[in-house]
Amino acid sequence: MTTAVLSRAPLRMRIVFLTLVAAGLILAARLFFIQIIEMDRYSHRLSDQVQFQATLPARRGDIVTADGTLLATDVFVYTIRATPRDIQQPERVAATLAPILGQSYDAVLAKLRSADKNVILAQEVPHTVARLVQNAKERLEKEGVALGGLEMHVHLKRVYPANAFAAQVVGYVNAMRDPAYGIEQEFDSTLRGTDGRISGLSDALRDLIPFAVPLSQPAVNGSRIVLTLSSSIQRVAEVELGTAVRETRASGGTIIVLDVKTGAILAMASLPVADLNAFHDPANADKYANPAISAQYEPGSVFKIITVACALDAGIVNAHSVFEDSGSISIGGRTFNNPNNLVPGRVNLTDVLRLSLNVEAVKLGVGLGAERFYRCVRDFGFGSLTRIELANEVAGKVKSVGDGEWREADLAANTFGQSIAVTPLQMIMAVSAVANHGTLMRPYIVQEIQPPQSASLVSVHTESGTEKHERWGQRTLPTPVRQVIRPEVARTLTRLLADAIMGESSHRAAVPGYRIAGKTGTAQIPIVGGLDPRWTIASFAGYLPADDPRIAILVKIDKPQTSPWGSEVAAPVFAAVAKQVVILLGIPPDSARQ
Amino acid sequence: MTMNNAQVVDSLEVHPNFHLARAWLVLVGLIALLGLLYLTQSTQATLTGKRLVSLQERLEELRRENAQLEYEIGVLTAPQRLAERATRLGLRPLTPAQARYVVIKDFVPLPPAMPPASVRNAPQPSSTFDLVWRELMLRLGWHTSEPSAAASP
Repeated sequence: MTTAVLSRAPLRMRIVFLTLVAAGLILAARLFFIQIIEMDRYSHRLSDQVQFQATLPARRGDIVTADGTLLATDVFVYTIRATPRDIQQPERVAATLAPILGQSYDAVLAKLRSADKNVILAQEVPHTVARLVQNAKERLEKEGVALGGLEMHVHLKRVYPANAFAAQVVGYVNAMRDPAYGIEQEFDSTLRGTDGRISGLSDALRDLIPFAVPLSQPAVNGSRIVLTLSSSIQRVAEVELGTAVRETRASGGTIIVLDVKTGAILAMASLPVADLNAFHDPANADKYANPAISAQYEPGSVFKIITVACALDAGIVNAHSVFEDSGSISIGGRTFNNPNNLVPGRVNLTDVLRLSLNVEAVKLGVGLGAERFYRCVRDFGFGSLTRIELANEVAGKVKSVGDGEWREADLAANTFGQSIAVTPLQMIMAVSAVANHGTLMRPYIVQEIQPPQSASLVSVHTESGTEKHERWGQRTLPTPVRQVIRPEVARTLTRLLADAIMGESSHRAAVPGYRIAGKTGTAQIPIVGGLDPRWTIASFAGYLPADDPRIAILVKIDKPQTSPWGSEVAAPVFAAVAKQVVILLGIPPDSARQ
Repeated sequence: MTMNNAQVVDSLEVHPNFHLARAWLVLVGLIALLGLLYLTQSTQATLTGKRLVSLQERLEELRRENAQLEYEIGVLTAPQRLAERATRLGLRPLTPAQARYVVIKDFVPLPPAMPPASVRNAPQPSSTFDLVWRELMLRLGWHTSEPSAAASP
């Protein structure tokens, strides 16, 4: 019928009809092309235009001391940008913003009049200032000043409120949010958290349209790490170390204070150090590594504590043994002398420790034999990582019989702490094992890991290496590593060490009112081809109260210039630290405890 | 076939069907009601969404402000700063000679600090479901921890 009607229609009508049909077909084809063939492309373009998606950055967890001093935290900082061509009345805007941003009117005006497409008005602006800028912007816009070209971009920044305090323990996070050193590096995944997302529909200005409840996945902030450090004791250690290094014109040094019963680190300070907020300064590049765990040194006579402990535990000597010291001994083709070429004659073990007799230490080592001596040294933790929760720990170096490097003379040198490389932490952990009735503890510096929403603490057992590191919730429990020497041997050695110190009325490590046990060390520094004839490392390792040891302290001073001796350089620092620590920890003097 | 006038008039007369009309009316009313309901709901959802976004923004604002304040407190209470202020106030560290200890006869020292019994004896969740369930119960205020009698120090 249509054909009949069309055939009867005038020509013009037929042309119009066919044109309409053709246009319809073209439109249909175009629609087919857009909606079927190009569907993906257009749906993506649509979703790009209407979908609002933003990342909610997770805050990195705080790091605090055991008593709550904030060492590291995240703050929100803003970058304020302007597009000059979109800023009306730049004079008025500059007059408003300059005092808020702490810049001169001329400086802000120059930026707003810049020919550049986009200028940065201020960077790393804190939240409080950014809010003032936002308020000023809204006020100006209400007054009819168009400020579409003024934008604020927020990002997180890691900051260290205590600056250089405990810097080498904390470590830092750089501008790219990459961690370096210390807790920041070791616990990066725990501290980092998980970014959240928010998604919904956006308007033409790319702002979220609340047509419906937006789908959002909240950010999960990182866990908070509570250290075992006491801020008071850490400060004492840092101040006393700074004073000692300055007065002795030393190149650096380390002080470690720990709880001998648990292995918890109460203070860990080293110099040189730098402000954690200034990590980008090239001059500070080598000041953030932690020498307490990553610098190896030859401990010198402090190591005689270990030699005597091994000899007593093996039963080759006892507290009443007497020796005839001729002042020198030859082993493996090398002759070893006492300090200052002393020839003391008849001595007992207390004299050996008091006079720091190398010859008797060598005799004890030889009496033990290389195998027993090195087994005992390794049992004390030397030559292996302590597995403290800090990045970049090193294991030190203990030679072994048959390893190709060992010579017979090495056994002799090792007995008084030369030709052996240890870290300060290994040294004080070994000494504290003697203080702790012969039990070596695993050192720890993280007391607790608090999850961001800490409502549900659960017991967690973490497998770490070959040993179980037990925690409850996220709290670290003291972990014994092994019984190194018998408790009675530890008690005997403590008495000998205390007698050696207390026997000298003017011993510089003495703490009035407290009986202390400890040993000085003056170690030569190995250089290529021998030992440095000029510099030494002066140290003192000790603990108190001797009858019921609570704290152990290691003081190590590198290359002192006023005196090479540990007894003159390090022992007074031990006393200065110990006097304050007993007050801070409320440890009564011997007379009040007995 | 022809109709007389009466039949024609009869056929043209409208016989109203009230049942049909009521049904249409109800249908239209229902549709209107549904429309109203939809509009109300969508308006409510939009308003709630707007309020939620506003609250979220406020929450974020407060979080940022809180972070800044925590940092400022951290700066003000840094050990170095506290020590300087204490020194300016004329305070000095105590020395062992200045400390006086009082010996209390028969004093039983406190046991070392331990975590709360409820934490130590918290049942071990055996699966994710258990964990979620316990979290839910805790949030609802229905505690699922073991009786405290089992939690001896």
